[in-house]
Amino acid sequence: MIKQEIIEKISKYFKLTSFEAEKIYDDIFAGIIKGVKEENIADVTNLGEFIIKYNSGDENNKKTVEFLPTLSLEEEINQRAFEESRQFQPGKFIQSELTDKPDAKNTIPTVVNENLSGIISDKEKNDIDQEHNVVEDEIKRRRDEILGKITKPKEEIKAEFNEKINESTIIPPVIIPPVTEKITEVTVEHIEAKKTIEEVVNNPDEVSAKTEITEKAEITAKTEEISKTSEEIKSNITETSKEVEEVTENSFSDFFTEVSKEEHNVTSSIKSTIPPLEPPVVPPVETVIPPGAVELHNQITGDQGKTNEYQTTITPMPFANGNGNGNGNGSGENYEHKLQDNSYYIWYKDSEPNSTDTQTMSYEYELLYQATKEAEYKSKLRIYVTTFIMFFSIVLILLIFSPVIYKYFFSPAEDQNSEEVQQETSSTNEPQNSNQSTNQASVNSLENQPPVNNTTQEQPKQEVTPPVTQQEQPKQEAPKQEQPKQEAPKQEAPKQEAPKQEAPKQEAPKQNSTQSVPGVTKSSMGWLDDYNKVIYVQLENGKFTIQESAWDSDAKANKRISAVGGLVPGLKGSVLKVDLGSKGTWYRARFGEFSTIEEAKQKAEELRNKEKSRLHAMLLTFFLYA
Amino acid sequence: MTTIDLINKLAVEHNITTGRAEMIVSILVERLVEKLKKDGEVQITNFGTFSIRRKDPDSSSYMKLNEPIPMVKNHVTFFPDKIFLESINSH
Repeated sequence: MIKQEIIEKISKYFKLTSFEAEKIYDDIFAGIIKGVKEENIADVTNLGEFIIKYNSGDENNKKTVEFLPTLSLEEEINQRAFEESRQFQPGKFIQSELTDKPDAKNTIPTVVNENLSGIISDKEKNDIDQEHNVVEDEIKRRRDEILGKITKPKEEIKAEFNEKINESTIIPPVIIPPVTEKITEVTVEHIEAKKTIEEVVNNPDEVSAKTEITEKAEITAKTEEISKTSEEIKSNITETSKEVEEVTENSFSDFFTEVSKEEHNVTSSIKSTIPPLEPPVVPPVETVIPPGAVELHNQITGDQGKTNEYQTTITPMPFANGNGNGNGNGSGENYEHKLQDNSYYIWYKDSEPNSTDTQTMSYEYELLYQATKEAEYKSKLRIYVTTFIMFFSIVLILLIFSPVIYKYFFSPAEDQNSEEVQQETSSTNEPQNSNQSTNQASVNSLENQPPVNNTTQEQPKQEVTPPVTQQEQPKQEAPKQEQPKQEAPKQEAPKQEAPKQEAPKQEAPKQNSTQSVPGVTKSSMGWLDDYNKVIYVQLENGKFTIQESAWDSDAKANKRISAVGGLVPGLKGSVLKVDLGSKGTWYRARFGEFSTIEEAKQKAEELRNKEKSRLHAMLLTFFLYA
Repeated sequence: MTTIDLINKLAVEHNITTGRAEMIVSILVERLVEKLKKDGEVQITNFGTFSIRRKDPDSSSYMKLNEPIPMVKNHVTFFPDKIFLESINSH
């Protein structure tokens, strides 16, 4: 059976002969058998797998075939079984359900009958059957109730709609007149009448023919009309039936949309019936527009000279005065209004605003105002941030380089002390070199003069110095008198001779005066001031100068002189170059000429105090900003 | 052996396209399954018999109906034909 069906189908779809289709059919199964034989497995999609199974018991057929259906096939079959079980009726299962299946028919009922026949009598059987029937009826009733609950609404809705449709579209009863019968009757009557007339009157044939033609034409016209009406009625019936079907096929969503439409119609009708509420009339209130808003308005409109006009307003216009939007008053004045929430807005067009316009305008102005404020705030914030960052960076740089700065500017005494120590421990060439040194920075007389050494130790050193001319050798015995002679060609001799001759006379009281100065100790270089960290050096003219610092380069020494000159105005400085041999050349920064050490000390104290005050000020500012 | 091999073989032997061969095989399987579902048994000459074996229903309460519903599970069995078995067992 199935073979014929499949062959027919294949031949029909693929336009093949039945012979070809049969051959293909056979080849398919032959191919499966061959595949199972050769590869022990044949997998057919949507059907299952045919696998060879070895049977140890049967010697003739060692190999058997096992079929493993696919999941889809099993699901389909079980779905069928589930559907059957939904329609399962326990009482009728044995009789009706298993009629198709011979195996089940033979097995299950027989077992039940055998069991019952051996144990239970006929009466008991009947009782059990009755009980079973009662239980089955109850189960059936409950099932119907549940199913009714589930399916009732849909049916009710459908029934209601069907009723509505029936009410709304009244289909006229279809009355199909018995056209043919009437026609036949009419024709028969007329023919009979004709015959009688012919017979009675014996009129000529022409008249009878005419009458026949006219009568026939009338009859055909009537029949055509009737047929037309019947066709129209039929078409109406079909249309109405289609509409009914469409309505019944409508889903719940369509019903909901219809309901919503009805609601909308009802609300619209209610709205139309109820008169619209008049908006509340705002009493005139004197208001003052904030100046910022006025400026903003002027910026927008471009009217810079109307600041006073806007500030001295206002008579607020009623919103619903019947004029509506677009009815300009022609005056060109600007209207400002105040809403109930105290938000200001300005109407600058030559027309009266309605409520929506004013609201939108007020909102726009508010946005503009906020935007401008935000821009101002951002610009200010940017300035603050940049200044803070700059200052902070400067302070940070100062903090980082503070040790260097302090060493460079405020603690040169270390270098000086080291130089001093060097001088004390250095070879005897120092005075000689110092004599040869040249001052590059200043033009003072101090520059060309070597540092004065009043100590007794230095005098023999001067005697040892080799680079002396033959003319100078006898003069070295009296060194104080020789020096002016050396400088005689460079400078004016008579002017310098006078104080130099007086110098030994002045030294004695000065030395005495230095002994009395507290905080000053005498050293090889001069008079050392530990507190101020300077050395007071006596010049050849008998005056004292402040040796403030010593530097390894001329530029640094000049820089220091300029810095000190800025601190203490009127204090002149000079640089003295000194060659210390292995320690290198040093440039001594010297300041001023003082008659006594006390004066020099006062000046040095003034200098140090000013430096300290400046340092304190810097630190204070740093801490303040930090 | 798979369905693809079978389709290719059919296409070569009968001088048809693989698409057509695939369609033929799918129609055959479809009809076979339909018949099996409908009748519960399909007999193919020289190949074997497919049949549905029905297990005893397991009663279970479905959802909250408090009502025993028989849960049926069927499975397909295949009984090969004599020719099929002979061809397998022949050397």
